[in-house]
Amino acid sequence: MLENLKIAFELMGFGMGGVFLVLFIIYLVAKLLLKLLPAK
Amino acid sequence: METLIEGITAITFNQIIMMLIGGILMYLGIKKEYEPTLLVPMGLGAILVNFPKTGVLTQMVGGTKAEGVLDVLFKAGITTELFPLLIFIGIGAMIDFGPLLQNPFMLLFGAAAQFGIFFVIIVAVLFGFDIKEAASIGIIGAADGPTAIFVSNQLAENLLGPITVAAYSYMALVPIIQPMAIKAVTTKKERQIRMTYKAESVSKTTKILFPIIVTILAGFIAPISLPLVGFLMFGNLLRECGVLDRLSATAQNELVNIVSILLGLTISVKLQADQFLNLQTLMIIAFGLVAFVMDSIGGVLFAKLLNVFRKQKINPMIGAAGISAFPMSSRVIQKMASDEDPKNFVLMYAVGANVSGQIGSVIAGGLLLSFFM
Repeated sequence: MLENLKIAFELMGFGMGGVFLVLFIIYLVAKLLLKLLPAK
Repeated sequence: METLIEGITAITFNQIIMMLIGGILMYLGIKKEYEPTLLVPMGLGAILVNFPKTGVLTQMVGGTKAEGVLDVLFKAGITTELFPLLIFIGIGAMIDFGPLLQNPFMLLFGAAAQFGIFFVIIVAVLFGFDIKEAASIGIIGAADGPTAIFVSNQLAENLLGPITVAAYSYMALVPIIQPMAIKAVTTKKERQIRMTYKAESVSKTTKILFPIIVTILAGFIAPISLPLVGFLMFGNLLRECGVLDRLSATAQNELVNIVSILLGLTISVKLQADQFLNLQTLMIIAFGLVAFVMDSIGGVLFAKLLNVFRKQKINPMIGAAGISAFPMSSRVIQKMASDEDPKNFVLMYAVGANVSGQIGSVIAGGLLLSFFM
């Protein structure tokens, strides 16, 4: 179980870090799109 | 005469219990209107698959194997992941990313509110599940039925039944679960925080490019999430491109309706008494609730953390809207805000966070899969 628990904590770091990273990049892309293509 | 009563004598006590559970699912769907599109087919399906010696499931007839209709559908639609992905096209066509693009900052709440997934993985491991089973249980916290089916089918197919029941049941119970979770970690004063609505105007081109760019990004960063993200964004592109309104309407209505009928009935293959009635199922149902609660708490605490550094405070309840249960969660947050202060209008922020939760949940599902693949 200890081995699984270690993997579960790794998974939390990988998963939460990954979701934040991807959504932060999408955030930057959205900001860029809003700047480059403003509504008329 | 013996043949006539064979159906009655062959049935077991557990199968009768499962039929009662099927009845409860249908009651919740019809009377309480909790996710009826899935719970009603699943409820009747639970009755169908628990009758012994029927042609619904694969069985031996006179020494030859006769394929059951639900098994055929299961292989075609669930084993291949086809049904959840087709539903994603419809969901994508239903989602308006406008409120999110008006306030892209809300994207971060879609990440924070996935916390319940990973929290429950640890809890499930502590209770003796192996890591892949634990990850499948955790994905209930994605608050997104098709993602839960997509991930658990690949990581722990044996748990697909209880995971699906838990995911859809708790999605329907968001109006009960979220207020309790939010109130546990916020003060009245925090819930009364007003947010002045500032929105960037969004051009048509931005709305068209957004789903395309997100698809490409997902392909590079989290490639295994691409089926989920790609189908979701394809549906959204149908909606936003402006020249495929007929296809968009079909995706939102006929496609989702047909696949929901098939998905609900087909999932019931996993509601057979010998697979469903055990201690594991009870634990999965309990952990699903923990996942939803911790999602909400994760989102709220993240908003409170941001408030430490921000001049213009965020109403921390917005964080809880970062779960994927759309649009129910954003409605719940607005109602809570109005209850605390009738002049507080946070709906558009909540919708933005809620929509980002849809993206966050599919990315989280993809990352879980990529961790094991």
